[in-house]
Amino acid sequence: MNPTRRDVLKTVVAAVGAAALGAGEALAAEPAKKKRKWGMTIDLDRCTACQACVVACKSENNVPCAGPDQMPLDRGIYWMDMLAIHEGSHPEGRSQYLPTPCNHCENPPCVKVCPVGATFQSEEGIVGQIWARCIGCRYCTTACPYSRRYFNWSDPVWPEEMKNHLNPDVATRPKGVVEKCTFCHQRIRAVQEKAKVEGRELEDGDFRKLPACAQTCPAEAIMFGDMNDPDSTVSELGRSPRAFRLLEDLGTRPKVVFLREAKWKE
Amino acid sequence: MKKQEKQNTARRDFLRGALAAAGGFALAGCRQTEDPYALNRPAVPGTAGYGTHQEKWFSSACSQCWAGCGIRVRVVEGRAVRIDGNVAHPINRGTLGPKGQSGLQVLYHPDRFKGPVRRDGPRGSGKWTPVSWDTAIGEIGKTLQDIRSRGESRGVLLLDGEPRGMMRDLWSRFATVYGTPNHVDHRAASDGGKLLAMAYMHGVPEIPAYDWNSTGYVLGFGASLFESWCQSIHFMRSSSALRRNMPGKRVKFVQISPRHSTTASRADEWVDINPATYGALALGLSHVIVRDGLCDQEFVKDHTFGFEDWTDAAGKKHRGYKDLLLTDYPPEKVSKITGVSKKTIERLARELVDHRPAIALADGGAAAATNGLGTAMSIHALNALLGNIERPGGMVVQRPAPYAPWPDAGPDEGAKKGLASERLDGSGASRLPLAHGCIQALPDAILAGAPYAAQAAFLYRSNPAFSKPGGKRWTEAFQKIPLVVSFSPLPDESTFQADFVLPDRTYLERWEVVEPVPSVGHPIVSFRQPVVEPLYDTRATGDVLIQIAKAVGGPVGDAFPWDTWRKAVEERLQSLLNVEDSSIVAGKLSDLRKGMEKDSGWWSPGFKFEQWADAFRTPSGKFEFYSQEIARKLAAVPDLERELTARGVVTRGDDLCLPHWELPRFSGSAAEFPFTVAAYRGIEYAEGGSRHVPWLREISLPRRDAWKQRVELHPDDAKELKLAAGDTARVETPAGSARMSVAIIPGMRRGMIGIPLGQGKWPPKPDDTDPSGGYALLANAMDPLAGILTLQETRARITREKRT
Repeated sequence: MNPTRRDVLKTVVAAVGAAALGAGEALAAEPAKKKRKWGMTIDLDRCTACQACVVACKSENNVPCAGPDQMPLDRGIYWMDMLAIHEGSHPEGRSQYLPTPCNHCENPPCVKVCPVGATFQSEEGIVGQIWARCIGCRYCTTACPYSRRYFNWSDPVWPEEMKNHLNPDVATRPKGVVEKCTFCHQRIRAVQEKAKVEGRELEDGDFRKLPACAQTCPAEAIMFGDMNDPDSTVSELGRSPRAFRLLEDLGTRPKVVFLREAKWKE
Repeated sequence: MKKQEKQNTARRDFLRGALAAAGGFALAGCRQTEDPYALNRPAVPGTAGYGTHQEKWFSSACSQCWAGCGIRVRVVEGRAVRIDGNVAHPINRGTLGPKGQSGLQVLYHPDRFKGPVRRDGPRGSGKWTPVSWDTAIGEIGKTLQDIRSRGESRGVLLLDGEPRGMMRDLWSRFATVYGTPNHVDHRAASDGGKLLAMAYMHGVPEIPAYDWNSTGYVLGFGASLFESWCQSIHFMRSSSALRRNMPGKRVKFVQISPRHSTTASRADEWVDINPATYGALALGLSHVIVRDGLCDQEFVKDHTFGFEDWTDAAGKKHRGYKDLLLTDYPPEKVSKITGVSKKTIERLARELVDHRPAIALADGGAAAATNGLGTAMSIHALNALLGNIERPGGMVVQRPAPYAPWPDAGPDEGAKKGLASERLDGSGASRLPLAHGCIQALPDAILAGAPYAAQAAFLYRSNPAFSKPGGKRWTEAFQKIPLVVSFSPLPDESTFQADFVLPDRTYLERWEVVEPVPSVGHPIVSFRQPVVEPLYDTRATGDVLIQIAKAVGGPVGDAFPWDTWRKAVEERLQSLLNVEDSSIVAGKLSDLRKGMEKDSGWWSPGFKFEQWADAFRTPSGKFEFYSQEIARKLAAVPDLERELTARGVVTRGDDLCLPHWELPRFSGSAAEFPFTVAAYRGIEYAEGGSRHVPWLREISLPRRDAWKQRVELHPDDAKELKLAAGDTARVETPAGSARMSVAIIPGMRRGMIGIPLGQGKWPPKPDDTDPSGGYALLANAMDPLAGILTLQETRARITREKRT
C-alpha cells in the first residue's frame, strides 16, 4: 500500500484526470469512490504488424477459426484484428497497419440499438455482450462504425483434439449470436480477486500488460490500464501529441487510443 | 447420449455463455461431480495428477522458430490451454510472436501420427500399418548394419532440419562414428549466404549477432526483420526501444528491397532496388565511404586483411579491396545496376558514417541468389569499413554456450573411409567448392547415383519435397533410396515416401536443451521440458537415435553409451555448473535444472567486446576482406578456369576471394516470362511452413486469402491482365505452374509478383501431383560455387483462369 499514491488517486483524479480525458466526465462526481475506466493505448510507431496479438486473442478467448470455406466469405472472427491500409502504389505507396480491438466507446452506438439489452456498458466502461440474450438481429454490427462486432454464422467448430486447448475461463459462443472483444475481462476479474485475497491495492503494473494482446506484444506497443488514474501508463500515453482515436468526429469517444507512427528526421 | 439430452447440453452451453458474460466470473470453481457443463473434450493422458480445475504453470522453451524464446504454459487438468512468454528469458522478456502463440495447435493437431508406423503399400501411397518401436528400430538398425558392413556407409543421408544445438551434435556424432559425410542441413536454402560470409570473412561458421540496443543506425538489405527472421522477436523489442525509449533520440532504420514488404512499410525509410542487386549497392556504398576517406582507418589497419594491395609469401601481387571498390563500383555504375539514384547512394553512405555505430545486415532471403556469396560478403564488409565489428552497437560474434563436447568417439577404419568420400551434394568438392552443404543438389545426385548410390535417408525436421524447389524430383529421388525413415510428427510430402515413420514428440512433450539462434551475443541456453504427458505413442528423436545406434551395434553403439537422450544432455550440462557471471550459479545439476525450469534457460549475460580472437578465426587472425580460405579452396579445384567458364562465372582472380558482384541470372526469358517472382517468407512462416496451423493460416493479409495460395500483383499489372482480387490465375515459371488466388497489393513493384512461401494445401495428399507451397514454382538455381539457393531469380507469366 502506498499512501502517496492513494492521495494522488483521491485528489488529483478529479482535476487532472478529467482534464486529460475531456470535460464532462462523470468520474468527477464521485471523487471519493472513483471507478476504474479501462482503456488501451496502441503505439503504431512500435507496432511491427506481427499479429501476435491476433493469435493471442484467439487462443485466450476461444475464438473459433473460420476455415477454408468461411474465410473467403469474410466470416472470420477477430476480436483483435489487424487492419492493413494501403495508400498509393509502388514506388510511392505506403502501408499502415492497425491492430484493432473493440474501442469500448464511452458513447457506444451498439448499446443504443440493441432491442433486447444484450449489449451493455459495464460500470468500468467495458462494452459487453450477453450472448444468451442476443437474438442475432445484427443491429449492433451495423451500428458499430468500426466493424468490431462479429456475428456467428455457424456453430464454432474445432477438430476434436483441438478442443483440448480451449481456455476454461471463457465460454464458447453458439451460432446466431454476436461476439466481441471484452478487454479480457476474465483476466481483470482474476487479478482483482487475487488482490482482494492478498489484501493489497492494485497498481498500474498489474494491468499494463493484462489482456492477452498486450501481454504477448513483442514490440510492447499495446498498453492497458485505468484511464481514471492520471498516473497510469495509458493516461500518460493518452496525453501524447501523437494520440488519436478512430473516427473521433462521430462522438463515440473510444477508449482505445492510438499513437501516430513517426518517422526519423535529421 | 439421447437426442433430448444432447439438446439440453447444447442449451446449457448456451446459458453458460450468459453466466460468463453477465457475471464476469471465470467458469472455474462451480463444477459438480457429474458436470453437465463440461466441454465435450477428448480424454488425454496425465489428467490423473490434477484435481478438479487444478492448474499448473510450466516454464519451457518455444520451438516454433529458432529464436528459442522462453515460454510459460498454463496446464489445466492435464491440458495445455495457454502459452505466454517467460518474463525471465532474455530473448523475449515475457512477449511472444504469433508462431509461439499458436504452439497449442501443433500439440493438439488432429493429423498427428499416433505411433510408429510402417509403410503398407507403394511409396507415396500414404498407407500405413502400426509397428512396434522395437521392431522398427531393430529393422532399421539391421539395415544400417548391413549397409555399413558392405562398406557403403557413405550412402546414408541424414537430412537434419535443426541448424544448431545438441540435437545437431547428436546427428553429427552419429554421422562420424557410422561413417557418412552426408549430414545435410537446410541452410543452403535459408541463411546460407550469411553463414558463408561469416565462415570466410571471420572463420566462424555461424550467423552474426548484433548489439541492437546501443546501435545508432540500421541498414537492412532485404532484411525481413519484422517478418520471418529468426531474431525477429528480439529485434521487434529492440526496434521499439530504439524508436521510443530514448527521449529526443530515434535510431533510423532503412530498408532496401524491391518489394514493399511489411518491414519496408515499418521502416523509417524504404529504398526501392532492382531484384538481386543488393551486393552492387553495398559495394557502391562502400565505394563512397572509402573514396571520401570515411572508413574507420584504425580498425581497417589493425583488424582487417586484404584492404590494400598486398604481396604474398611467394612474391605474387594481390589486389586489395580498396582498389576493387574504387575502380569497379563508382556510384554512377551502381546506380545503373540497382536503380537506386546516385544521390541516394551518396546520402546513405554519409548517414551510415554519421550515425555510427551502425549495423548493415541482410537476411538469408536477400543473399539467396546466384550471386549470393559475393552479395553477403559485400554487405557484411560494410560493417568492417565502419569499424562496427565487436564494438558496442555493432555486429558481434555469438559466444557459444560453454558446454564441453561429449567424449570423443573417433571413427573406426570403416567409418574413416566413408567420411573421406565426397559428399553426395557435392559441397566442398570441385562441384561446389565453396559450399557448406547444398541440400537442393541432392535429388539430382541421388537419381544419377553419382558419385555413389544413396542407401538410406533419415528425415529429421525435414520435408524437402515441399520446402525445396523441384518437389517431384525429390519424390522420385526418395523412390530410389532403399530405406527412408521420417521422424515427422505430421504427415507430409516427404514422409509419404518413408518406409518407417517414427513420430517425434512435439516441443511441448519433450525434454531438451536448445541453443537459440544468435541474437544478443552472450551465451544463452534455452530449456525445454514436457508440459503435458505425451499424447501418443511417440518418442523424442534424440532417444530414438540413441536406440538406433545401439541396434547398429559395434563401435556405433559404443559411441552412444547413454540410456536416454536426457542423460546425454545432462552429461554436457555439467559444464554449466559453477559458471560465475551466469544467471544460475549452481553447484549441483539438480539446482541448475531447478533454475532452468523456472527461467526457461541459462545464460551468461556479461558480454565483453573486442574479443578479437573469438571474432576472427581466419588464417590471418583478422577480418578478411580477402578470404584466404576461399583462395585455398579454389586453388584445390582442378582446372579452375574451365570450371568457371562452364558455370558462367565472370569474375576471375583475386576478385573471387573478395566481396564482389556478379550479374543475376534469371531463369526464363523476359519475353516469355515477363514477371519476376519475389518469393518471400511472411511472419507466419517457420522452416517448412506452417500451413497446418489454423491460427497462423488465418492471420493472412488480406484475410480472405487465408487457406489459399496467393499471388500478389501491382494494381496496374492486374488491370492490364484483367485480373481482380480473388480471381484465380495460373502462374507459370520455367520450373512449374500453379493455380493461385490473386491479391492486389499496391506495394508490389510493377513487373514483379509476390509469392508467400510455405502456404500450400493442408492436409497434404499422397497423390497430389503438384505439392506446391510456392516452392514448386521456383527454379532450382544456385550460386554456382557456394550452392546458395536463389529465391529471387525466377521469371513467371500469369494468366487468368476461369473460376471453377
